[in-house]
Order: sequence, then structure tokens, then C-alpha cells
Amino acid sequence: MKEVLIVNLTRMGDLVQTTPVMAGLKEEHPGVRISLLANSAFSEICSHIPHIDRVFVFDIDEAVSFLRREDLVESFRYMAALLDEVNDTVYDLVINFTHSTSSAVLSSLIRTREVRGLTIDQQGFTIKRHPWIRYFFNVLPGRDINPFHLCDIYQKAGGISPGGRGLELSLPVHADDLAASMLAGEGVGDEDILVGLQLGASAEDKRWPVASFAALADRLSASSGARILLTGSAREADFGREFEGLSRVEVLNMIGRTDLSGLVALLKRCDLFISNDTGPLHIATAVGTKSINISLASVHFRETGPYGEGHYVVRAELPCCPCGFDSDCADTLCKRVITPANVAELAESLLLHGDLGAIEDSPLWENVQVYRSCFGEDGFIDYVPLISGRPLNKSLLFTEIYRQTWPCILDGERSWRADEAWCRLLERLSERYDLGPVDIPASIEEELLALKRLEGLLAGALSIVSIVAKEAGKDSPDFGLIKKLWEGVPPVDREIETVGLTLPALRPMSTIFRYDKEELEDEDVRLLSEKAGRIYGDLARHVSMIVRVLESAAAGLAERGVCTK
Amino acid sequence: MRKGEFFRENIDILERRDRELAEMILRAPRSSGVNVFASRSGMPSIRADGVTLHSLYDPCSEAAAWVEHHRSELDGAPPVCILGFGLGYHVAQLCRTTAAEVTVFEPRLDILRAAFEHLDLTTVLRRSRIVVGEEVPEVAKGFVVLEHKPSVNLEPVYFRHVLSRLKTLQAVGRGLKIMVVGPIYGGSLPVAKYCAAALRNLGHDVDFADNSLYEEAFLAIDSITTDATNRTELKGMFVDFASEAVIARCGEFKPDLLFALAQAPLTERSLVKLRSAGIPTAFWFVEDFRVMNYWQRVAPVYDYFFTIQRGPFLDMLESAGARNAAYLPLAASVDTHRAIQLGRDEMDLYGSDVSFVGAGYSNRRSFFEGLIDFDFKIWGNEWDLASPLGRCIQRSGARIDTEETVKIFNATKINVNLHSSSYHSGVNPYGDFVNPRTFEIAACEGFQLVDRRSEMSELFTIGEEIVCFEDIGDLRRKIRYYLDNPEERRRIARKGCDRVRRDHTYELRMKSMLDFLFRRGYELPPCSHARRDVSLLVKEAGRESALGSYLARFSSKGKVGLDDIVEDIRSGEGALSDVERIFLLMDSLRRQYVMEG
Repeated sequence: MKEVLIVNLTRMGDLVQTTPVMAGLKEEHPGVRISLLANSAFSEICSHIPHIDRVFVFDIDEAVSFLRREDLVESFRYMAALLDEVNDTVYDLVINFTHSTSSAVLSSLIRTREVRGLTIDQQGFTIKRHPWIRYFFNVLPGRDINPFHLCDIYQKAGGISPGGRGLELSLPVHADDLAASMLAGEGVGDEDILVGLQLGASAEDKRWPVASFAALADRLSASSGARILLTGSAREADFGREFEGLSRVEVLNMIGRTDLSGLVALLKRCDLFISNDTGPLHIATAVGTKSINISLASVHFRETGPYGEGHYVVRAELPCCPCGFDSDCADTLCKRVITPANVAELAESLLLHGDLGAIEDSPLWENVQVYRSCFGEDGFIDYVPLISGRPLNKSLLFTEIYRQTWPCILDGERSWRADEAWCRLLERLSERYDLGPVDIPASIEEELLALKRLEGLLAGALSIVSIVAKEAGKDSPDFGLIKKLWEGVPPVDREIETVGLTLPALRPMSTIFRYDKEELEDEDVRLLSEKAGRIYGDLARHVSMIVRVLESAAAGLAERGVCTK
Repeated sequence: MRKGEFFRENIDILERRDRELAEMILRAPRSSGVNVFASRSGMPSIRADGVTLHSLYDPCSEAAAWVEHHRSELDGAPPVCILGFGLGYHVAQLCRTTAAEVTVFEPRLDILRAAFEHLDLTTVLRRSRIVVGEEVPEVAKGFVVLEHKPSVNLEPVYFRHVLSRLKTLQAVGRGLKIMVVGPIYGGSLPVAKYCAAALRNLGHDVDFADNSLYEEAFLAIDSITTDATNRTELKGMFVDFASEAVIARCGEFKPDLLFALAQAPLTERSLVKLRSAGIPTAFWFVEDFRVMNYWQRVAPVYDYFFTIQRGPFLDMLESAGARNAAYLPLAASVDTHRAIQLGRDEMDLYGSDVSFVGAGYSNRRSFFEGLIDFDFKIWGNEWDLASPLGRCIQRSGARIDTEETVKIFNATKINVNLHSSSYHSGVNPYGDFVNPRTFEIAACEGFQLVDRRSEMSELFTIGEEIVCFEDIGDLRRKIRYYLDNPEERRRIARKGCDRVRRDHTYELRMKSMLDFLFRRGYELPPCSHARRDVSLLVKEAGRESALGSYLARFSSKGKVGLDDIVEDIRSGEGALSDVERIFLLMDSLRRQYVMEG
């Protein structure tokens, strides 16, 4: 592989989160040239991202200004000129990490041997190329049972095995001096403990109250003697002023006063960085600063939490967390449940000990959980709950099961043993959760029944598809027979869909099955039925894997006497 | 000629056309980033900041090829705007090829200086206009824009701005979709209609929101209750409704501009909605700011605010939050107000030595009593029939429509025009703006005596085109004089009429209004679904280009927009071409960023 183009027209944080896949591509394909097509609004960060050999800037504002004026010719010319520039070579691989329809169309216009990600087919229909990309699009409807981080999904889609690569950013020249000179004016010396706070977030519901940050700052200043630094863009200046009005500490308010290099240098200098889900959180992670992420509202830390070893996530443990992207919460309980005392307790421990392996449960932590990030043995990032002994529930069980099964299905891995999987699973579950309170075997009964019913139906569908493939391969196929046989397939599809809709824990399988079928495109009936055979085969295999694990779970948990039945 | 001689000669020519620019070039220092050198053909070429602007081999042949490339766009000799001057080879070649008006945009004085030093540009400078600033001047309709690519690459930000402004200017020239919003009733209602008609005459697509439909219902509110608070409340609710009706109408018409007249029932809430939809709004406050104070409330919510008064009012508007305020005096609709031949019966009916048409404001009621001994007819409503003026009042004080008003202006020997005032007994000593009646009488070639106004001398030559009076004594003297001098009366009336037709039509006012908008950065709204002439699009794209030949397939439709193209692609069969994919990309970007904001 010589030429790779990454299309990423999203925000700063998302760009930083593509650094592991870029690093992986460089490692696994020495000499590969990586080009990046980025949104001009966020192109400044690109100069800090290592591994990028060249950047094409898509000035979306300019493109849109032509469209606002309905200036067809200029708009077309702008697009054509951009494509001419990008298409100066034929790429071996284009990976589109943007999820918009426009990026799909754009990707289809690039000269390449292979596209992964969202693109459009010959007729203009949107398709999702690559199994892990299809998995990614399933995350939205099945968020609370998704075990994989965006960075891991990106790496998998890039054909890279995740293996402990964290985020990366190159530091500005003399970063330490730069930070020191910025801080010296504020009376902060090298020996001072510096805690950075990012008060803003992309949306109001994702923002921990400024008053909570102020109370946190007051306590850290008193208990640890920490100096408090505020970071953020000029648009967030109001939060800084509000903070200053509420906090008793003398704060270093750098909101809107740094360029990107300055921000990077300051974040590197921080002993601890505490933030909502923001771009600077990922920058801090990338420069190796220990971070605490306060995860609120629709943010799901398993997808976009700090990616790297030894960072922390504080999250409300409420039935509604995380809320849906389209929810408009009138009472953001999660913001209140996480108190300044929670975050201060964690931050003080980290400032004192550097790291934290466990938290003893107490009323302070009611409805709150803290996770520590680390890379698992499977190479994926893992978030270990530090307050152990909270009850296991169905979502957590399926999240853990899927962590083991999806890679086998999506990577086409054949060697998988239910008993081994169950052993690994049991070990993780018992370390992290109290297996007692919830009657797991009873709670998964319905799923087990549905999956067993699907096993039978899928076997039938597979045999139809294989007969059709055989008939279609003949010199003069009997299309009447093929049509007749095929009538048996749609009822199976409907049943798969029904199972996904009625049993949320099984929805990912049905969603990805549907995406896979949407990808089917071939004029040749034999090839088409062979491809369909693979899709039904994958689902059948996954169903059977889950059935075996669930059966082991039911039996194993019963044996351990942890179930009531 | 030697280097210095070229420069002197070129500057001399430029000075005659544009002294300011000539001085700027004279003062411009030579830049170290600009290097003029000989091309292989011996003619000079130039490199600026590392970008070579003309051929290293033969700049003249290159310029000829450039003009040839744009040949199809120059069909019919449209005015031309060129982005980039360089050493002017392409401009010179173009001037040789077309007789059209040429405007060249070039922000780099150092490059212009180099061009002036090294080439004889006298012919070019006699034929073209050079613009160095960011402000785009007026360019005749139907112009084309040609880019000198190396210059554009050298200064992309400047040229992107100029191109964007020129494109907006082209859109304005082709005709905008304008929603004109009139009041429910009152003096600004006819003005609203005249503006709508004038904008149509200028080639714009106009939708007139005629709120006079609601007049009867609105006035009926007064008969519901005598309680003033309740009346105000009910009227407010009525205005809310009428305002939302305008918004609903905009939803369908999708105007590029909403132009509202004084008293238009548009609430601040509706105007905020229009702003968030990106529809620019303009307001013409054709009232006296000292009498009507609602301007304070609406000034910040309109994008552009036009007044018939100047001086302190413009400053007060700015303090009230108006961002773009300008003086725009009233005018006449010369299609409506014109000289007509009247028969004997009509002359008897409408004619008199002296007349007045209008409402009986208090200053008029008292002032006109001083004219009671003349052959004086008063037309219009709100007069007191029981007063001494009662015998002058025609039709018992019924309202007079425009058609009859025109006849009265035509039939009367001396039309008296006294600006209304609720605060003064006769002539308002501080009167500034000039009322519509002034322009309308003049447009009818009627003779008038009008009270003195401070803005009058800007609009008419007093004594030659119009005659003013100071007080009742002065008016009586002048009435007697002009009744005795009919020839002088007719001469002045004719000159007044010429002046109105030359300078004071609603078409001219609407053009000034749009010019002001453009100068203040007017941009088309985001969802302007303007369809364009396919033939023009093909020409703009270049007939031979992939885009041009693709667009040509829509020729039978006459006009086409992005929606039509996308619909055609979606309903087609077979694999998509790259051109089609680019249109799909444009459509998806528009949906993502323009429609969803």
C-alpha cells in the first residue's frame, strides 16, 4: 500500500482521534503516504498531527457561499478544482471517517482502488463499505451495548489491529518554554501544581455547570494548593467570567487567549486536566496529561472517552445515561448527580498518588461511577469501573459478550470457542460487578428463545440461498424455480428485523444484517446469492455464538449459585 | 519609448479618468517581491511573490489565447469585469476584440506600477476602468466575469471577495424576488403600491402583500369596544395575525428581500424569524420621526432602514440600533401621476383657481381659512363641514381616489400643498422632508405653491421648478401673482415635471435602495431557489466544457436550478457520471449547511 487518503471533515476532536489509525498504517505499511482531506475550519490542528504527509483543505464555507447564492457554475468549479487537486494520484485506499451524505458523494469521486466508509454506489445510493464501518453506524441505535471506542473502530476499518496506540500530537517547538513563559506572567512556577479546567462543551446539555467547576476549583486549591487554569475558545469567554464571579481562587483565565500551539503547550504542562467531552480533552490525552472526563447527557464514554492508558471518566449511573442524540432533556439530572465533591475526591487522589486502582463505595458515590481507561488484552481500549460490586445487568452483560463476539464476526475470525469465551467473560464480570442481585438467567430467557428460533430460520434461509446459487450457476438456470425458492427468504428477513426491534440487546445483529444486505449489488444472480449466503452465514454464526455463551452464562451463574432460579 | 516615458504617458491618461488612482500609483513604492524580466519573445513578463503572471515565452500570444478561450462568453459584447491586471496583455487584447465596457480589478499597486513602467497602456487605459479597492462599483447589467488565473492565485482572498460581490451584483441585475409589504391603510399604502410597480418595472419578481384587504376588519375593532386598553390589545392581536400571514407568504414565495413600508403590520417577532431564515429586510419609514416614534422599536430588527429625513435622525437611528440607515426621499409614480387632457365637463367638475387635495389636519384647517375669498376647492376627508371652510369642501369631505386626484391636479390652476402638522397652526418652521404630493403635482405638470421645507432645494430648483411660500401672506400674494401670469405658471410646472421624470421616480428610488443594499454587503438569502437561464449557464460554464455540455441538455426547460438538476439525476438510470456526482455533492452540502443552517 503506497497511497492512502483519509477523508475527515469533522471537528478537531475527531481529527485527533484518527491519529492511532494513521500511526498503525505507517507501522504496518512502511513508506505509505497518508493524505488527509479536512474541513478548513479545523485544519489548524492538522499541523500538529504526526503521520500526515499532506493535507487537502476543503473550504466548506466557501463552497457553501456559492450554494447560498445558487451559483451553480462557480460552485461546480470549486468542487471540480478541489477534486482535481485531490485526484493528482490514484489512491490504494480511501477511508472516509465522516458520516455525512456529502462526504459519501465526495468519496465516490476520488480515484482509488478501494473505498472504506460511507460512499455512494453507481446508482447514487448511500452504502457503508467495510464491516467495521457498518458496525460503526449500528452504534447509534444500540449505544448502551457497544463496547468499542471510535478510535478502535477507525483502526479496524483501516485494517489495523488496535494494540495500545494512544492519541498523538506533535508538540510545538519548545513547548515547555512556551508554557512556562505564558504562566510566569501569572506567577505560576515549575514547581506549582497546575490543574486545567475546560468549562465549555459543544452543547449546553454536555456542559457541567460552571458553578460546579468553581466549587471544585475552590476545593482543589485549598486541599492540594493547586493553581487553576481555564482553557477554552473566545466563544467560551462568558463561562470564564461566570467562573471568576463564583470561585474564590485566583484563576489563570486563558480562555480565548491562546492559539492552538499555546493551548497544546499549556495542556502538556498541566498536572491534571478536567473537562467535559471536548476537543481539548483529546489534545490533553494526546500529549500525555492525565485527564478526567465528566461524561454527561448524550456523550458515551465507551465511544469517545479519553483514549489512552490511565485516564478517568466520571459518569452518572442513571437509567437514562447516555441519553439519545435527539433527546431534549428538560432536567439534566446527570449534571446534578455528579457533584464537585465526587470530582474533587478523584482529582485529589490522582494529584497525590498519580493513579488510582479502586474506589471504595460510599454514599458519596451514589448514582456515580468512575472508570479508568486502559488497553485490554484484545488491544481495544477498556474502561474499568473503579467502584466494583455494583450489580451486573443485561446491558453490561451484552456489552461484555459483544466485545468478544463482534471482532470474530467482523474480522472473519473462525477460531472461537464458547467455553473459553465464557471463562474470560466470567472472570471480567466477577471482578467488576456483583453477579448476585439480578437474576441473569431469567433476564436473558427471552433473548435466548428468540436466538434459538433464529438459528432454525437462518439454517433454512442458508439452504435456500445455496440451492439458488447452484441453480444460477447452471448453463441455463430455471429462473422460475429460483423465483419460487427465493420467496422463502423475505419472511426470514422480517423475523430478523422483528427480533432486533423487540429485543434491544439483539438489535446490533439485526441492524448490521440489514446494512450488509444493503451492500449487495451484482448483476449476476449466482454471485449475488453467494454473497447473500455469506451474510446469512455470518449472522447464523453470530447467533450461535451468542446462544452458546448465554447458555454457558445461564448454567455457569446457576452453578455458582448466584441466580435465584 | 523608454521606461520612464511609458510611465508618464500612462499616468497622464489615467489621471484624466481617475486622478485618485493615478496618485496612488505614483506614490506606490517599487516592491522587492515584484520582478519584471524579458520573456523569450522579448516582451516583458512579471513575477510577483514567486507567482509568474505571464508567459515566459510569449505573453502576447498567451493573451490572444486567453481571449479566444473566453470567446463564447463575449458573444453580444457584454460589459466585462476582469479579475487581475498583471502587465495588462490580456486586457489590451480584450479591448482590441470587444467594444464593451471593461472593468479590471487589481489590488496590487506595485504590479500596476510595474505595468505602467514597462508597457504602453494608453489604449487600454482609455478604454477600461481599474479598481483597486474592495468596493465593487456599478457595472452595467449583463456583465461577464473573466479571471486572469495567475493574478487570482496571487491574491486569492481579495479576488474571492470581489467575485462574490460581482456574483451578487449579477443576481441583482438579473432580478431579485422581492416581497413588498404595505400597511393596512394610510398614506403609505399608495407608496407601497408604487414601489411594487417600480420594482416590477426594474425587472424584479415582486409579490405585493396587500394588507389593505384587512382594512374593514381592522377598523371594525373600534366598534367592538370603547375601552382603549382592550382596543389596543385586540389591534395588537390583529397585527400579530397579519404579520404571521406575511411570514407564511414568504415561506412560499421565498423572497431574496422583504421591503416593507411604514405602518406595515410586521412584528419584531416576525422580523426576527425572517432574520434567522436569512431573508434580508428593508424598511422605508415614509413618516415624520418626530410624530411617529415606533421607529425606535423596529430600527434594530430591520437590516436596512430608509428615511425621508436626514440630519439628527440618522444619528438617532444608529443609536437605536439601525445598522444600515440611509436617506431616501419620496418620489412620484409617473405611470400614475401624469399630464392628461380633460374634457370641458371634467374641467368644470375638478377645476378651480386654487385647490387642495388631502386630509384635514389641524394646521390645514386653520391655515386654509385664510384662502376663503379665492375660488378654492378642498378635496379629501377629515374636514369640518361646519367650519368656515365648509363651503369649499367638495363631496362633503369624501375620500378622493388616485384617479380623481390626478384629474384635480391637472385641472387646477394653482395647487396648494401644505405639509401636515399636528403641532403648528400653519407652515411648520422646522419642516424638512418633502411629501409625496409635491412630486405628484409636479409629475402631473400641475402648478403648485408649497410650504418651504429644508430638503426642498436639494430636490427642486426653487423659483424655476417649484415655488414655495413662507406664510399665509406670502401664499396669498403668490396666488394672485400666478393667477395673473399663466405662462410663467405653465413654464414652471413643465420644468417641475421634467425634474420629477428625470430624478424623482419610484424606479430611481428603488434602484437607489438596491444600490445602497449592495454597497452595504447585501447577500442573497441561503435558500434562494433562483432558476437561471440555461443558455446563460452554458455560456458561463463554457460550451465545450464538461459542465457546459451537461447543462445544455436542460436547454428545452429554459431555466434550471439545482433542484431540477438533482431531480433529473435521481430519476435517471444507469451509472452516474462524475458531473452528476458533483451535482449530488453540491445538493448534499446545500442540504447539510444551507437548509439546516
